[in-house]
Amino acid sequence: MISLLLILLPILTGSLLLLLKGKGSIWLALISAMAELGITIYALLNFDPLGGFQYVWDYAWIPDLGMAWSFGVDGVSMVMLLLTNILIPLIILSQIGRKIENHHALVGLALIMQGALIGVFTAMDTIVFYVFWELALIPVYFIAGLWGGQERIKATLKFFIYTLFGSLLMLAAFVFLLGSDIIINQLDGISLILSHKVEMFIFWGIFMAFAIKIPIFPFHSWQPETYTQSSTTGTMLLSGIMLKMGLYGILRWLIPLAPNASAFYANLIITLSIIGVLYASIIAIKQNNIKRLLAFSSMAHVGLIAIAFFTGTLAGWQGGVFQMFTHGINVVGLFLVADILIEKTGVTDIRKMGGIASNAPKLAILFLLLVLGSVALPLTDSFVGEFLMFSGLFKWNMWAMIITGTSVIFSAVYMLRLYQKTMFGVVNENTKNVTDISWNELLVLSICSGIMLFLGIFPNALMQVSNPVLEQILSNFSRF
Amino acid sequence: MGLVFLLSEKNMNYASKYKEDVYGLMIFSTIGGLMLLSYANLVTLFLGIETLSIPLYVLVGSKKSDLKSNEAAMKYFIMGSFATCFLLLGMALIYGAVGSFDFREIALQCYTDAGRVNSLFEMGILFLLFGMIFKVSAAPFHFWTPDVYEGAPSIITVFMATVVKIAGFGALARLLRGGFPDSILFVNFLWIIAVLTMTVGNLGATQQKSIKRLLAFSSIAHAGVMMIAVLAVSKASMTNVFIYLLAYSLATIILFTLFMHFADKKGLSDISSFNGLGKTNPFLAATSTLALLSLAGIPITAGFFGKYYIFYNAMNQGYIWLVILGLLNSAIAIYYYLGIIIAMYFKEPVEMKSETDDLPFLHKLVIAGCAIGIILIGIYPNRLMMLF
Repeated sequence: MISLLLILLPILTGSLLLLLKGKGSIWLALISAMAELGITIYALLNFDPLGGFQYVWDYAWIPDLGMAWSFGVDGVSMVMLLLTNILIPLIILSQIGRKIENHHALVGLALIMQGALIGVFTAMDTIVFYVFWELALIPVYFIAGLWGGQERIKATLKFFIYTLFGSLLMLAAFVFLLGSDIIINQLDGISLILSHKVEMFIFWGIFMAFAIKIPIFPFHSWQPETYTQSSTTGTMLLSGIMLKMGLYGILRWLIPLAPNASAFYANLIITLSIIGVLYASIIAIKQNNIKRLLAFSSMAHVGLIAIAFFTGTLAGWQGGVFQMFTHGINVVGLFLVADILIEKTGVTDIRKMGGIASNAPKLAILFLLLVLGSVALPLTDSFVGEFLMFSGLFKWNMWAMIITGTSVIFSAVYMLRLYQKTMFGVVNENTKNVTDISWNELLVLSICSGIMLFLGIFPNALMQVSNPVLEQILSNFSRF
Repeated sequence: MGLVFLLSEKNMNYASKYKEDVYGLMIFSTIGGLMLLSYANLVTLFLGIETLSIPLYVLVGSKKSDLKSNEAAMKYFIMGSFATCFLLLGMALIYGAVGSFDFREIALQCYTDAGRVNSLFEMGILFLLFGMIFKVSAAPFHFWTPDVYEGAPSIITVFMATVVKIAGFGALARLLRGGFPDSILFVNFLWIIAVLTMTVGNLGATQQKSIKRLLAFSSIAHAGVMMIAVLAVSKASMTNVFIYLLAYSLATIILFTLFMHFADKKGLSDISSFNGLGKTNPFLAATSTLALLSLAGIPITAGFFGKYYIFYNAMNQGYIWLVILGLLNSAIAIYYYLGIIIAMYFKEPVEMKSETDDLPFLHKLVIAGCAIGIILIGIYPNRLMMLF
């Protein structure tokens, strides 16, 4: 029942908000998001990491096709639920006080998307997963298209068609699985042995959808445009939560459904991802548009998680799941800083900013913490995640790890360059009137950096939730 | 089959400004459609098609003073008669081969003499299919569709896009299921037709500026998807076609109602007439977005399950590549459907005239009904499946 409540509450409030107008709407959204977070924490406290799927809710939907609305939460889902339900209130909170046209519709769509995302993270049925996967796309399409920069229509159209193309291939794979005699609709029943050819087909169908969403090189070309052009809320939702759908899908569906094919193509995909990580890191060094820079840095970090999942090692998986959470928190903080800077200075080019630290010390301190988190300094949470992922990759292949390891150096280069260009240097006419951040921005950024430091010191708080499940999945698929 | 009546009844509501004979002809045509849904004899098939088509030729030209309408009627009439010739020739050849017009006889002959089915019979089926494919506007016999849809009065276009389509596909499905079961003669033929139809329809639609032509091409593309259902003949395929058609009709009715409204009030017929609808009239924008998403096959709409059942069935029958090509075509389709959504929400209204933005209450009711239908079928498709 809890999982159903978690899905329906934001969707209903969101739909209501689309109809309502007025100043109270954003507070209503915030209340709904906080209630959602409260339910999630309650669920977390009663959660048994060893217990497999919990809070299961089943309802026969189309019995003759074996479809059922079935939702459940296991360790990995729980981490994703926490991430979603922590980030949504933060995103809404950070936008209070902004002058945004039709703000009620914006938060309404964000809440509908929250419901859809929770559906994705708790679905235990292939078609239900697909339904929510598509459902999450529609609100974010409008969020990115209605509130954003000049080129947003072109960028979002590209984004929509790109991702829809991928998900249609995934649908083909799912329909094929349903159509064949194997009954695997329900997740608990996944223990099928498919013929080699069929498995390859399934693998590519599902992988394309995830690869585009994550994005894995060379399917990434929608990403920088969309991140740069869409509004901050859109960018935060996309980078913080939405692309985790693809990563989550790899663990939840791709590897369990096609373990042999995943092992078979692991080399190819890891190679592609390594190229993507380095490529994105190097491009990020040369970027001057602050949002583009963050978009490429996000692509580099997320590519690393994909690599870790395909190494098929426990350390890699643990680090990957941990990093999904930390990257979400971190990137939302960074995009918020970017948004604040763009808002206050009126320029997007980091060369035109400078000296902001002297006018806005609070912003400078919190920004520094987030930057350090992003370059994975010890005592920040990213350090734990990246350390585990690299040790997983090391077990897979030493040279791959060494080559990929250079991306950490690159990330220090571009992030510190970003910090230096914006915060230090001489105050110019763009930055001379910059004021410090408002209370809600201060709160959001403090929470982001607080979580970051807390998990950097006590990583086990989060890891113990997901580890038993990961061990279990990995032992079920020892072939992998 | 009561569906047909229901739909035509809804259509009538729009036609308030037309004369009585239009209603009369529509009912005649609907009777032909009903014949097509229930025939068991080739002669009845022919009668049904003629009863359906002849009033249509007149209806298309019923805007007497309009040059385009007359041109469309002429085009439709000449090409339609030509297709009917093929149909008749096919029937004659089949009669020559089998010696009967009756389905049971033909099916019996198919089973018993499967080994020595002669070329006369094959040619007969081929010609018969030519005729039918023309009627459902599948490629490569689709060229009349955009012109006729554009030229005909909008209300007739709705009628053609919904009732006539239903009848045509019903007839085709019946023909292949009832008349020639297990015949592999037409499988390859229909495979190519289906892929060609989807691709031509979708690629054509991406190039269109006029809403009517866009919907005409999109209807060709949808005909291609339904071809897949007809091709993967099984017990469920009739039901699949009907669910798909229902989903398609509901969405098309919404869009055409809006279009007619704009054409009347603003005198515009291209996509820009939808510009800024999201701001001026959120209700209409939301319902037509729903309709477009349904046409594109996004989940929680009727269109998704229409497509889903068809592809599921085809996959079961082993047409994997056909399904993949069909799904890729859906990705092309999203491009032009999104074009309209973009116009509605992301572009500024052309000319803001507040009095032009409201529809008559009846039309609103129809639109709301269709929208609710789309969502209900999208959530509970199995309730509908039980009806069949």
